[in-house]
Amino acid sequence: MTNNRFSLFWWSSPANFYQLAGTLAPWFGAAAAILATVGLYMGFFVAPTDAQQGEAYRIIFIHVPAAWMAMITYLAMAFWCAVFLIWKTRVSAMFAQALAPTGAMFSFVALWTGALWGRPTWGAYWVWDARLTSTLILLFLYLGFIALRNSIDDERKADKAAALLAIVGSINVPIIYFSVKWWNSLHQGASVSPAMAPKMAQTMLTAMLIMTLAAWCYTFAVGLYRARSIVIDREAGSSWLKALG
Amino acid sequence: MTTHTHFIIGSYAALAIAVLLELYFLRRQRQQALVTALAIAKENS
Repeated sequence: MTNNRFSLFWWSSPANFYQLAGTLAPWFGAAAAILATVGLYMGFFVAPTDAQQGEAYRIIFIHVPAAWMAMITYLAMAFWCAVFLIWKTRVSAMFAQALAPTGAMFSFVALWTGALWGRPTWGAYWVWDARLTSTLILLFLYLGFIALRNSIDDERKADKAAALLAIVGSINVPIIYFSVKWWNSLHQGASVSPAMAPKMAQTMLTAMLIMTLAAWCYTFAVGLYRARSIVIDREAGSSWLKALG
Repeated sequence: MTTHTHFIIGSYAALAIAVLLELYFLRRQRQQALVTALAIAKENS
């Protein structure tokens, strides 16, 4: 290991990571609360009523950020699992473990709000459409990751098995993203993409992006906070934890 | 258009419940981890 604070390996020490997470988590939590307040105000009081969908479209301000975060969190989880498998850094596995419940929560919220948006706009809560089905599989992957991780007593074996599942399962994320292009889908295509101009009013887009930032900050805050609990649990008895009191 | 209000309320209520549940379990997990750490520390001392 290295003594350079700017090296990722310095932060891979549970003691250093624990302190860093404790410093960052409250800031991310506060940012999430402020951004969510601003985003919800803009979404409900500034953004206009949609010409086609009326007020029902306002579900977009949680549906889209939740769906994006569900996918991004899974990729982040798979990334840290890969880092763990390559460099054997235990903190990477702990952080991946910490991200899973939040990813599962966002997957559930995306599916639930999608159903409640689908009913007034499509006439159905659920259809076995490629986008919806692959998102449901994402939720099952999260639940499978959590269940597999908890079903093995040996921490190292549990980390390895769960890491493999996370990495293999990450193939589902591009399937979700491109499903609306690859198959005939009831789900609408992307309204926001780096490759084209947005298909919605500026205030709607701004509110949605602010809510997305809030979701990012929330995920960081909750992930770091949960990772600290995991570190305490798995490092119980270590000298550095005793020194902290 | 107002007939869709319950779909909007249902969506935002689900998010609020999900976040509150997550924060509750987060707090509980931390308390359990601290109890375990304290018990091990006492055992070792």
